[in-house]
Amino acid sequence: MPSGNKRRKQQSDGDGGEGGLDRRRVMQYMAATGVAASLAGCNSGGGDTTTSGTTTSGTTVSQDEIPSGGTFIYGTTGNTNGLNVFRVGDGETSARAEMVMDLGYVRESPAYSDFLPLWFEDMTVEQPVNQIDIKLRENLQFGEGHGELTADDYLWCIDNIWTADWANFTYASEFTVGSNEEPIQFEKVDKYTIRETIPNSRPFFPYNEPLSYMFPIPKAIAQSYVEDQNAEGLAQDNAIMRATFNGNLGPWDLKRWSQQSVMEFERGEDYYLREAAANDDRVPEIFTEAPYFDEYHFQYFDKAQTARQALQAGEIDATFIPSTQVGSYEGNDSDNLQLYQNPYRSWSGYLGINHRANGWSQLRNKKVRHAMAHIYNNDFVVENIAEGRAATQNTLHPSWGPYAPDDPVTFDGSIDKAKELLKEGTSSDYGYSGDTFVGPDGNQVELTVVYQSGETDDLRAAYLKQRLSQVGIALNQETTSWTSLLSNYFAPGQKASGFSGTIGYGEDNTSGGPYNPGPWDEVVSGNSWDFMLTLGFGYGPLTPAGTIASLFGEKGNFNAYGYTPDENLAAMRDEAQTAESREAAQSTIQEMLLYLSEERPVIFEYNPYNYYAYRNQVQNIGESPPDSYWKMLQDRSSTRMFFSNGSSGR
Amino acid sequence: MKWYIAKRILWTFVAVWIALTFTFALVTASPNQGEMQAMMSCATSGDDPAECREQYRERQGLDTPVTERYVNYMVNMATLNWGWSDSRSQAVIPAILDAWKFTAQYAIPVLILSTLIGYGIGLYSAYKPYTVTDYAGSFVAFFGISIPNFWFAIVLIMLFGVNINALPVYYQSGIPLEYGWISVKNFLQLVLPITVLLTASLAWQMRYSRAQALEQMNQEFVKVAKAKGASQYRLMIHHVLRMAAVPLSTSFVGSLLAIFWSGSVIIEQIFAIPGLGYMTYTAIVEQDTALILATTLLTVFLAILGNLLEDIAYVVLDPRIDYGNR
Repeated sequence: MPSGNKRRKQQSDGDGGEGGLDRRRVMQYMAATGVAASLAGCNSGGGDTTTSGTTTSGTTVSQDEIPSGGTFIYGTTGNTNGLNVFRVGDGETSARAEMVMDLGYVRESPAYSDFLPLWFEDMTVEQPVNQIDIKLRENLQFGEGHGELTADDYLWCIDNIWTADWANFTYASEFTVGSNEEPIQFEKVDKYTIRETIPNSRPFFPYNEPLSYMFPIPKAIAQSYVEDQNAEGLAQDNAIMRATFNGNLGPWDLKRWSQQSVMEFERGEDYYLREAAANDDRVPEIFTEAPYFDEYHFQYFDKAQTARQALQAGEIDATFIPSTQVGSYEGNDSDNLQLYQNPYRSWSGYLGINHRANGWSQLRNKKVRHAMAHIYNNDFVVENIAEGRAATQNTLHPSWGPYAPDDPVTFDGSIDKAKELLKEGTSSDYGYSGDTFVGPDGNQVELTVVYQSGETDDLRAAYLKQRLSQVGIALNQETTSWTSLLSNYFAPGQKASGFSGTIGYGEDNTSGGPYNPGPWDEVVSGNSWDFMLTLGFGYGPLTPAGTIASLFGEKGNFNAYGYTPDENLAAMRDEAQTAESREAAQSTIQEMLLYLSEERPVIFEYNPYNYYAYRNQVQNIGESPPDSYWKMLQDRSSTRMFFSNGSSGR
Repeated sequence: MKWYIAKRILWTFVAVWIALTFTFALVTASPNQGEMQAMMSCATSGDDPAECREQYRERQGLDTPVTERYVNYMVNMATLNWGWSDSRSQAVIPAILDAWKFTAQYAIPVLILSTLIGYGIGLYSAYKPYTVTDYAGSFVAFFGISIPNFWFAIVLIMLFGVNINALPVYYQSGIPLEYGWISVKNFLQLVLPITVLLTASLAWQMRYSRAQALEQMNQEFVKVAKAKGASQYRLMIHHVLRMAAVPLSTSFVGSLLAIFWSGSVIIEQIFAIPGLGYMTYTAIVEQDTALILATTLLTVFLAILGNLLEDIAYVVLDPRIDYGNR
């Protein structure tokens, strides 16, 4: 279950879905700081809508002068679970699948019509926003004799695979909208056009419509599995795992896959976008010969340090650089490397708080959480642990996001204020004995932080321990694996001590999902904890309402923390998502974000930047940092537009 | 002797059967994560957990009597149908067949080299104890035992891979396919992993062989050989080593497994070698039950087979040992 922090839907920048998140999407949203080394940076280099390549030195290279050939090797610490488009559910699998099959489009601004058209030649959004017509290009071909990709292929997959119960498809819930999970209606308009209709106008629907990030599977391959309702067989089919049917649908074809070692792709000889670039003004001319490398390799490393050493030795061309390591690469010309910084990472790191019955009861008091916000000072973390390579957050939204509140609640890190808040916020049987904060039993209060050991999180935990000791509280540090963190600590699965009824919300005992089966006093995680690091959350900065309600709404799918807000965040989400326009939703979304900032259900911390190092020989990785979030999203296409200046020797 | 070997082989089958049965019992008695997840999933979507549990058990064939499942399990194991590895998206047997070559290509040379060099230095140190050369050998041994593999590997990579740029930093699995398993390019990318692993295992072999040889050096037959004017080589190889080799041979399988479990996992992670160690580590981390089971059983098989070979080696090395009546 370990997962990168990005998702296939990145281009459409969805939030928690119009109706919130379901359990299958946990892999998309949850992410560990320790495994943040996704392929995104590899996909977030250069690429713009000009008609020529721009080298990293800023020199413009005309189409004719772009060198081609050689092999580009990207070092990654991700997993190697194939190109399984049926079981695609995490960012890493998506990134690999996107090597051999494109997306529908790449969004270039919040305007509905502003996108780089890939498979989708056009996408028309009706006003009010309850109907979208998608028109496919006419030269999209499956391989292995499976014929042309048309509207029929999409509709067959929707009915038979993507929404079928037996398939348990990762993104099945995204074919519905609203908290009542009303299904989106799909119909064929003509051979290449599909119409999507929803019951009511939803201004964020175009960002969340599902077809732009689906990979249709040819009927001939899936038919027998569909008839047998054999999801396991379909997932293990060789053609699916290796996407051998990709035809001309993507820039690369899979050449060799050595498990836990390397995935080698070779240049697709008949990539559809070359022809489109020649005839469609919206597609940059640079695509007419893309990709420019003969081969593209994902080389897997268990140890990120080995990948970085391989990069320094010139054996690979690019890899992820943790923010704590960036200093050794900055201004170091001897390594022959260039750094790419992406400050627009849609992911929040924070100090999680266990509000459930197996956490410290006093943390359910807002004043105590405010004390913790002073103690665990996010500005200090950004400056001294992330070394300035992150942006401070005081709510679940990045400071560069369109809904960032102007005046979020902040805490200055005062230990004196923290002590005062602790005294005020805790029950009367807590208090100070000298410098020690003692509980009802007269002993020092001891709390526990759990996390996956890693460079940054070890430092964050050490900082928390040091600061808590300054207010007289002891801290136990528990480290565990990512899987264990989710299953044994985050996910509540046991009845709370003293509770003997049926778990669930309300009289009918409804559940918020596996990560929130019931209220804080009814169900708890297997292992007790008070604070949690490592686990952060990805979000869609354009549409944060769904994510907020899912994570902190009382019955939210991912409210494993057991937080019980006074406000009805789910109702506020519905209000925002059914507003007349995105502008009309702004005040509600900002109200939600300000509420979180004041409530501090978790101690909001930062959104760390992503860094990638490239060999100097790699050209066209783009301006670092990109000048906007949209520029970063456009850069999804950059891998096929990288080229070498010819001196890499590969 | 032949009868003994036949009996031992027969016993090997019994031991494997016991190991398999024990594993089956453990798996059967353990809480089924899939079953619990299915129940949880149903409970949270408003369905009846008990019904979902039954459906799950039916799908997985868990609704059949335990004896039937046991027979199916044994048949699957015997026919090498060991299941599917989620961590590799591959059936278990092909996964092992893919991975073992990458481990064997450095583990076998390490085993041979550590035995030859370790025993060589150990014997020499025993022949000339408490001399400068003995101390030098001891230093090498203690250095090898003391230095952490992962740290040594990183230092070697920095020195020879990054700074001098003489050897590859990581293992490229495409090289043996393109240039052959026995090729200069493949050899070059194995130099650092072999060096790291050799340092640790050689030290152990050296100290053990020195101790065994020293024990033999005081025996009467060695004194007689010396008195008769036997050369140093003849004395050590024909007389001392032959006797010392009997207890030493008992450690052979142990060393092999020790190399695998203590060395391979770390070495393969650091040098990005897609071998058995890395595979096993990933299987454990990702809770890939089928693969964990397979690698565990593989270890058991190796241990059982190794012990058989060791017992046979006893007789070859020391004719006084006779299994004739057993």
